[in-house]
Amino acid sequence: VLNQSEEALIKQLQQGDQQAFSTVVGLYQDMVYNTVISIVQSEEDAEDITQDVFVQVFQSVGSFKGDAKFSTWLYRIVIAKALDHEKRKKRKKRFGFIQSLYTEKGEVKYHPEEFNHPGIQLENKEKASELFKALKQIPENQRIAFMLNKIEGLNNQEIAAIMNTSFYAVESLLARAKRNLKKSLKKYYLQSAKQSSHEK
Amino acid sequence: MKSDEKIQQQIEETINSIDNIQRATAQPYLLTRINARLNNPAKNVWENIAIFISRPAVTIAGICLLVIINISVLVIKKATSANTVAERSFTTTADEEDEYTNLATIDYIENQ
Repeated sequence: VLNQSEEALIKQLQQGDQQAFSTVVGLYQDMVYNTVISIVQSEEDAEDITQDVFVQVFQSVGSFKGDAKFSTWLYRIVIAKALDHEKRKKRKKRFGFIQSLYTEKGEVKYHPEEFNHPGIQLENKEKASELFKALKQIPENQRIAFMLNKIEGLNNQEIAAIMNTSFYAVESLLARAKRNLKKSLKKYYLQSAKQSSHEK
Repeated sequence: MKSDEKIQQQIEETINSIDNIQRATAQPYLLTRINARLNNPAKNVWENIAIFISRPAVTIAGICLLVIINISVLVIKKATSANTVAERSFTTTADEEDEYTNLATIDYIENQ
């Protein structure tokens, strides 16, 4: 599955070669950061998780057997770390009132923030922000499949390998993701239409 | 109908708004920061627990909890001992009453 140069690079990395590690970070840092930021929807958190991912890559590359592409293995680590972080953040949100004890001004620390992906064109920023909000409301596996497809530009075969599932399962996940996103967006646009008619 | 069509159009536009998305790029000096993390591994669980416990709010809450437990134990103990005293005095009074009745009965028999 691995090409020769990639295989050589991984072998060097498995031997703890610092130069090989620098090359791997250089090659994959944007891929990792882009995937993480699309899942956690926060630049600050994405930076931290990206560092975490590469630390884990360095520490556990020995367990990489080469039966999948290195990028597939890396995507799995990225998704696991990002989802784990999300769960921890949700747990913290639940105890937000306790956390608020520790802020200096007595404010609650965790607010649902508006997220703007840095790679979105200016004219699409507002709509993309709504899409990211809607993405948070659909099931996890549908969201991951949708993001890998739309944001990372991966095909169904590649997504299937990362998510350890079949090509057809990915097709179905993507279709369900779109249907659920449309439902969620319809709710949002109906509400804002009602609000604007009330204001008039 | 028109508003329905408009909403459908908005939904489509929103879904397609990320079609030409560019890859977000990581911050510069990422490698330096990763290397720093590798050289200074994160604190272990026990260190994190110690840090959490030493927070002033946690410490104060812990002390308050201990005080509340102590006070409630004292109150419960006091209530229990008061009940025991009342029970005892009630038993004593009942015994005295019995004795008085017995004496009265003896007096009555003797007078007859």
